Amino acid sequence: MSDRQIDQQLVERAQRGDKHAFELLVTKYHRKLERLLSRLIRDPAEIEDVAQEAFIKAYRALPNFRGDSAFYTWLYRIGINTAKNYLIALGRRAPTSTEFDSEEAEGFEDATGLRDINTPESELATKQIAQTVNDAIAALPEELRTAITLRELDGLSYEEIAQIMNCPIGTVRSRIFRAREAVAEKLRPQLGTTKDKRW
Amino acid sequence: MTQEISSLMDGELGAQEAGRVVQACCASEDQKQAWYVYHVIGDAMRGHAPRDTFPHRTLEALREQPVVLAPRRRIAVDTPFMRVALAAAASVATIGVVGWLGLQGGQIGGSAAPIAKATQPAAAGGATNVAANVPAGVPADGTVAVSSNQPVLNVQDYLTVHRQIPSPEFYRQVSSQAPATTR
Repeated sequence: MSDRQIDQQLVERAQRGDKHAFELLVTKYHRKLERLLSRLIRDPAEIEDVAQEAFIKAYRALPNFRGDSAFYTWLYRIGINTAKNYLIALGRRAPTSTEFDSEEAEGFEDATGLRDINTPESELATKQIAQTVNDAIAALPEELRTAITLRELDGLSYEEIAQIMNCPIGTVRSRIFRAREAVAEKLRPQLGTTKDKRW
Repeated sequence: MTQEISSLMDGELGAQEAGRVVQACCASEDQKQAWYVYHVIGDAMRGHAPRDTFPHRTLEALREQPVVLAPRRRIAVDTPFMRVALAAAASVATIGVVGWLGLQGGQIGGSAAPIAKATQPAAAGGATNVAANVPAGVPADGTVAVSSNQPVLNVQDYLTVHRQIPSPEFYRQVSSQAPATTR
């Protein structure tokens, strides 16, 4: 099942009244949307406000989402429109175009040259998170490190990884999971999501 | 379950299994956290570590929103099963309508006869036997009655007269009678 299909499942659950499903979409796309909005808005606090407003608008508009486009493409349009309206309300000039169209937004994860939206404090937090992840990955046994790297950085399927690593798909599945869990253990305290803490 | 979340994120689960894991993810705080942390790990590895910790504010704002409920989307009729089901339903409906119309038609014919009979005695003066104008082949049983100035025909006779494909006999007799009537 593709990423888009998983999003569609979450959307359909949210449309049936399951707010938790939409929360999963928020935690998945929050960072990505904020990076997008940083093209229009400079202030990090304002970016956070607009991102929040965009998610709330998207939630309210869920009954209108029919799945013709990917959820993120739809969210992207809402985010851009929210940002433009926000700037207009402040009397600032909203850009006439946003350089990226909706289709490009799909692959925006890898876009380079985005303005850094971090404040000094959040930049430190970002660096610490990145450092923790890198250290944890480096400390992994080689087979786990290879498996998660091939998956996350190269985007290979389990079958492709299994061929490269010459092992069964089930082993790949297990290695990637163990790698994630090992990194997550180190990361949770920094993210404020320890297992005993509610969202 | 967390291993299945890991597989779900990688798009390595079938639709049914994915649905089950998504459901579990929505129901449990632990699974939701795993979902979030695994996504952060992926983002951080690709050089997009989060600039902050967790979107608590957005989630709080979301919780204050009333629950949205979208109307269920119509089921696509492209599946072979739906096509067969629709065809069967249409056939049953057609048979039902035709049958009902047939029954209605019988009742009309049956109920028209007494009316004609009831009007016959009263029409002794005003009634005109139009059997002469009725083409041959039509049973001229004298069921035609006139009430006031409007002639009323028995429905069965009317249908017989106006049937779309008359027999060749009908034309033969009409053509033989035609000169006689003009004379």
